[in-house]
Amino acid sequence: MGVLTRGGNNRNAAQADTRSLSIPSHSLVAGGLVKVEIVGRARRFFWGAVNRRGELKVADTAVTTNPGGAPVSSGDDPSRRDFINIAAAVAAVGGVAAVAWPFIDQMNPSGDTLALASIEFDLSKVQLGQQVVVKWRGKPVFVRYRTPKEIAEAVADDHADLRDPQTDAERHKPGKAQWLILIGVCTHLGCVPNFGQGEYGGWFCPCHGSVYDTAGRIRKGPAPKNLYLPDYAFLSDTKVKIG
Amino acid sequence: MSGHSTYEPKTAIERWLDTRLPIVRFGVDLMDFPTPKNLNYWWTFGGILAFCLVTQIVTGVILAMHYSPTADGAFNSVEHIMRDVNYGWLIRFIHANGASMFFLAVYVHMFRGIYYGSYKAPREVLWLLGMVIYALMMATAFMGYVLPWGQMSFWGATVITNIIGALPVVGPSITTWLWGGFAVGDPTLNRFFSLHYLLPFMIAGVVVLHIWALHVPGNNNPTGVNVKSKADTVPFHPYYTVKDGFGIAVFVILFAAFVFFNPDGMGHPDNYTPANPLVTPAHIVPEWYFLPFYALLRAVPNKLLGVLAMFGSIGMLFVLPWLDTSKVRSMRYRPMAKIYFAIFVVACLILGICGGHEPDDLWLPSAGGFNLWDSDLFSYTWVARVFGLYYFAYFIVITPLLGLMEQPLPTPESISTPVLSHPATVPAGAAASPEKKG
Repeated sequence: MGVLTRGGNNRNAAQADTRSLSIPSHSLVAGGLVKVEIVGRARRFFWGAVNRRGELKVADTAVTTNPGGAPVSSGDDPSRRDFINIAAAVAAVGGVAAVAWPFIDQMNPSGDTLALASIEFDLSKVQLGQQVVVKWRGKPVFVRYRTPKEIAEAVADDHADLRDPQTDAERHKPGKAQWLILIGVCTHLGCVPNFGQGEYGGWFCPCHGSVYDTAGRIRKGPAPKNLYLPDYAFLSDTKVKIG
Repeated sequence: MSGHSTYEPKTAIERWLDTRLPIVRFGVDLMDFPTPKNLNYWWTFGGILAFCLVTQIVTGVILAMHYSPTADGAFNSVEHIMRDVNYGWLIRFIHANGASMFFLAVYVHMFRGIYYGSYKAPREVLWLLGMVIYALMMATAFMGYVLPWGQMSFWGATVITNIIGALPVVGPSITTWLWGGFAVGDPTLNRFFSLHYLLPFMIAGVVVLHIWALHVPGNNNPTGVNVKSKADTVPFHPYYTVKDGFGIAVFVILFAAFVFFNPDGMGHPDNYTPANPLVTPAHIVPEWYFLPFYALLRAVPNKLLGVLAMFGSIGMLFVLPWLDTSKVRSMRYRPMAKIYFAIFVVACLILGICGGHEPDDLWLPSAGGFNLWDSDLFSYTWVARVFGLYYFAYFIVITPLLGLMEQPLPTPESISTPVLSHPATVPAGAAASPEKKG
């Protein structure tokens, strides 16, 4: 049961004033909707909302449901309405993310691009001291047949002050020191370094002046890393599979 | 500031429309907008920029009718436009040079905004929207330059997209995502075309917001003093439609001089070589309007820091309204700020020159040979470092400190005061009480 306080010129309030109200006590939770029945008049009722002060709000009329009492439920607690808001927001964000992903992922490499991921190359085409450039995944791959002098220079610098320290042995397959196979893309901003140029006899990048040695290690200039090694394997002494 | 609408519908149909869609009222109010009466020619660049945007969209839509955005067909379709399409050469040269003209105008517009303090309260949002337009312009210009699929297109795209690869951890995956492959290729070209077509319309949208944000506080003016009364303003039309129109006409003369007499002057000959993913041109340079940023990128010997310096230099412009502590808007009344601003403009130009040279080139060929740290003291690398440092210092150190330390000149009481009491035009005796003359 509740006591009605008149808070305006609301018609419902004016009528209800003279009658008893029946309010189910279990519904007196802040934020909840309450069905208020007017006792004695069959099927006459109206809906109200209980606010955080425990008042029943019907338009501009407040019905005090527990006069002088404490708040029905603490304003600090997440109410049922907050829960609905949060749940709706989370569901919406999840839905947007799920829909957005296909629209983002469509820009990643497509199936046919990925299918071109490996090539085979015949090493017998390369002369001693020469470099052949192979196109793999749209990028140049350097296949360099190193001379013993170039290998020796690279090994000699294994413990020099390197920006991206690696020994020469880590740059080629075991027992295949003469074959240096690298991705021919400068690790600075992606230009193709020029073969045999630069003070270390390796490569020189014309774009921003990075210098690589005969093991493809960065020695000077803005590039942060050594030239990357592609995944490759020797199928035979003269055949290599890249990718 | 715009006050009440002065539009009165005169015919029945105008009254009918005005209560349903007051678009005529909108146009009339726009033309009637009270504008400070002392705007100089530096203020015509807003109109010039609107002209540039329309020119680029119109010529661009036409070029798209003849262009083929595939790695195999792009270069040939551009040659087809140049040789076979009726007036294709003209439309393409307008579009290509139009990009340069657009940037020329936007740089003047931005320097004007900095000099006259147009970014200061209450115009911060106006300035920010302008910076958003500038960022969109750079993205659009970059992607547009890729479309002819020449050597510079290809390698420019490679270098710039690799810049994003400098980000730790996520960089390489983002780069692959941008490329749609493992290098710049057909998918990259195709999406750049799609976005190059989209972004100008986004720019147009932000331009609407920019003008909206302009019309809330109204124009700044060369004195930087707020409009005090109706006597300080004139209606936009006919006063500034005429002034802007004259500015646009002069600008078009310069534009036409490039289009007809030196159409490839701002391009690069390497872009008439079809893209070749296996050969990098000897000397990659971006278009002139990106050179200062390119110089900053290369001046820093660390890849990630270089990239941060480049983006940071643009970021400085975004936060400028909150770095400036001076209460005086116009540098006309800031004798010290004027000098530092002049050096700033020179620094930007010199950075541009540095960006156009190889980092190891010497600016004084007879000197040189003196190595400081990693580069020759007389190389462009060091020039770029010195002026790059000034660029950042101008925003981070000079601008905040100057506002606190500088003794500004007295600002006029109103816009009308200096106009009426200008010592060169008014006899000394008459200047005593100019307000009575007005």
